[in-house]
Amino acid sequence: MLEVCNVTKSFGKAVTAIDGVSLQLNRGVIGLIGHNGAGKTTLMQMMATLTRPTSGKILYHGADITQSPNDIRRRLGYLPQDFGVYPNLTALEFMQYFAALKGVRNPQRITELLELVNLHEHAKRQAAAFSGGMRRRLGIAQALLNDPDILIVDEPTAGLDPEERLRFRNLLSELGLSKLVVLSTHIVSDVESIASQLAILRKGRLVAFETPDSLLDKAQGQVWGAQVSSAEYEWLRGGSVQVLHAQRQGDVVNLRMAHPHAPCAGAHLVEPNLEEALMAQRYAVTEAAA
Amino acid sequence: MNAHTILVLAHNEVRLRMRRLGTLVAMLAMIALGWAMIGDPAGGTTMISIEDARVLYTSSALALGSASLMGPLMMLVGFFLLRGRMGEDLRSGMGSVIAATPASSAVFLAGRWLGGVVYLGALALVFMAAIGVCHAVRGDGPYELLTYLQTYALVLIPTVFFTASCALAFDSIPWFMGKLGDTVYFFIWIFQLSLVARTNGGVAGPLSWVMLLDFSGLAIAAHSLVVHTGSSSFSLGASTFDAAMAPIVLPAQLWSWPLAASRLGAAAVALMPVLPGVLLFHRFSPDRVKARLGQQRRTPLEFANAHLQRLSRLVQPLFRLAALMPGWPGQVLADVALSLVASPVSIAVVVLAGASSLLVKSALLPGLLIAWVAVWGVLVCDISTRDKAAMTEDMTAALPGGSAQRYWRHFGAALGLGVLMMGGIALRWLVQAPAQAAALCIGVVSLSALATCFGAVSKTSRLFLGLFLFGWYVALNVRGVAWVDAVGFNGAADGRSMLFYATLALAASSLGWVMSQRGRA
Repeated sequence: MLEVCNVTKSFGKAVTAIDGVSLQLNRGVIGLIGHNGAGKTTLMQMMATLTRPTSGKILYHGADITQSPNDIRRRLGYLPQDFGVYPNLTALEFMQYFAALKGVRNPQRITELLELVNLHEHAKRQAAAFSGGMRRRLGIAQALLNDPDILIVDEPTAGLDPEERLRFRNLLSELGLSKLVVLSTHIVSDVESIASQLAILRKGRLVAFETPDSLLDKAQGQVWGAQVSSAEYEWLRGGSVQVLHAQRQGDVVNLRMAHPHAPCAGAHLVEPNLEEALMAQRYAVTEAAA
Repeated sequence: MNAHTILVLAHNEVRLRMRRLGTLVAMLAMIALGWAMIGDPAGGTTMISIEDARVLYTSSALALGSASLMGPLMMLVGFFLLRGRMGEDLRSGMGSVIAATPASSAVFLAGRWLGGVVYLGALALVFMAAIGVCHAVRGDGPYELLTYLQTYALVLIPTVFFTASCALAFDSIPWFMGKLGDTVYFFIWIFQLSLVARTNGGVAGPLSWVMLLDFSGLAIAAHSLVVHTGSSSFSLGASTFDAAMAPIVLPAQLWSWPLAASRLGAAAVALMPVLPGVLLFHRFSPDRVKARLGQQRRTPLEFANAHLQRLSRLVQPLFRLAALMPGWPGQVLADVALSLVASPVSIAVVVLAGASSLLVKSALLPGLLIAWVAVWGVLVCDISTRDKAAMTEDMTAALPGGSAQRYWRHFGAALGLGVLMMGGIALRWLVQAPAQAAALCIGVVSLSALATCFGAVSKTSRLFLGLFLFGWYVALNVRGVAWVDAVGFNGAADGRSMLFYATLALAASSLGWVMSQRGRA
């Protein structure tokens, strides 16, 4: 559906935000993962036609989106990381405005979407007075107005409480059954259970594009647990061991670490979770680069 | 410690503003106006004439004329350039961070005020330098830097103080943070200009206490001319003169001690607005200013909007109609509807404007147009900046047409509102006065282009608003000059002025569009 072909995006000569990224994206939830400044937002902005690649191409059904951006825009829903609403507009009017801009002729669609995001009872309230979670739900409703084939959402769960995050995850998971949902986050638990594939960006480069299961498999044998003294802990921290988790209990420290082999005496292999698998992957990449 | 904090804050304010494109645009606009004010005697115009005799372009004459003409412009444009920093802090979330720092409100506001003063002072110096170049080209005597510095300081220090004080006070008091504050300030500015009438018609006499309220410097300049020439019949600003009459030379030293003392007094009085600003400063308290962002109704305009909210139902069919219209026209209609729904008062205004345009007697049309043009300008000034202000820029850039079409959509919406409000007048003039109808159409297109361009370039609605209100006021007072009559309400517009405004529309649209597409490649 969407093909990113060797895309690079530079800002001046000094900054390369995206460096030769290639991806083949089809239906399902794709999680874009990376640190702050890894290039997630820039990549999504290019996919959403907000900005053009410096080199490379992004193809939608085989056509270059920079040549004919309106083709993808008609089938696109986009929710940026930071967005607001117009003052003095109710949620309903906000939706009416975007429906008009997108050429959505069925007014029933607005009602359906406000119900989908559970805002139908607040349709006539000022959107600017909404809480962060409600505003984000209104944003996703806006993005879905044109029943898009591609939904691009940038850090959609930032600032939401756990209940809202769960609700959002379920909604995106459901949408991923019939659409391509590209979702960026640095909260791994947001994509752990819903992403069909994860694209991991590091300093603008794509370091992995795999299923969560595949990443977990790769991390098998690299994540270790141990109970050590404070002195050993300090020694391990100062060495080449990637400490993933440390919990002090009296005089001892319970550790989980990423390392290709047992990092200390008494260390035992543990089942990694996705976050640990990603950290192990990052460690492996750093080691390889070194 | 406090002095250091104030200096750091002021430095930050100046740096922040100097890096804005709006500053460059404002500087260029002021320089262009400054040059336009200093008429070329070879072309039959002059900056100062007394009883039809030309005043020679000596340093004292050029300094007095240019500084006093710069004062009103700086008071208006400078205010709108300084305004809105507290709103930016609120939107960016920095307001609460600032509020939680140990810096006292007085120190914080002093830093902001000083930053504003230095910024406006820098603009004045750039303007003075531009006039210096003009002196080299058209001047009649040697360039005397000290004369310029003395005159600019005495004329413009109260201007700068008052403008910075008002901008600070209006940003600090929640009631005045929005368009109500803009409107109130505009009336203060008009009051300032009316002060000159007290001197213009009188004779050289003792200084009145009213001079202490002359922050623009126009009244003191007029008084000075009366004192030095003994005539109250003079013209300040580009005007014609009788070449057969002997030119008049103003004395090199125009500033007596009483005049200088009057300016120092005015500078002290100009600080007065700071006091309510400090006393009523919201300090970004959510109880006082988050409510503004969160749409609790506080200002009279917001109060009226809340009570007229039901009117927005009238506009909702426009959204449905817009969805049915493909492409740019549909998007323009959606933006027109958004403008109306966002401020239900404007729905009442548009209905009233449309109806009155069709129903009043023909003789009343120019007067009606004067009012509706002003209201329309205030209404459309923020169309091209509202996506940025509401943080919906990225969402609207991903819509069909993208950011390129968004620019033209904003232009179309400003134009559309103009048609709704003044289309009736244009239609009636089409039959009765086709030239005025053409001037109105071209003027509305040109102003729509400028509103969109300035918004796209400066990212603030206030640069256009400041220049628009200044131009509107000038057009109201200079009734016979064709190129000032942008929308034809004076009946003075001619073919050349219409061509000028059509070219301006084209140039502004092209520039604005190019600038709005920066960063996409």
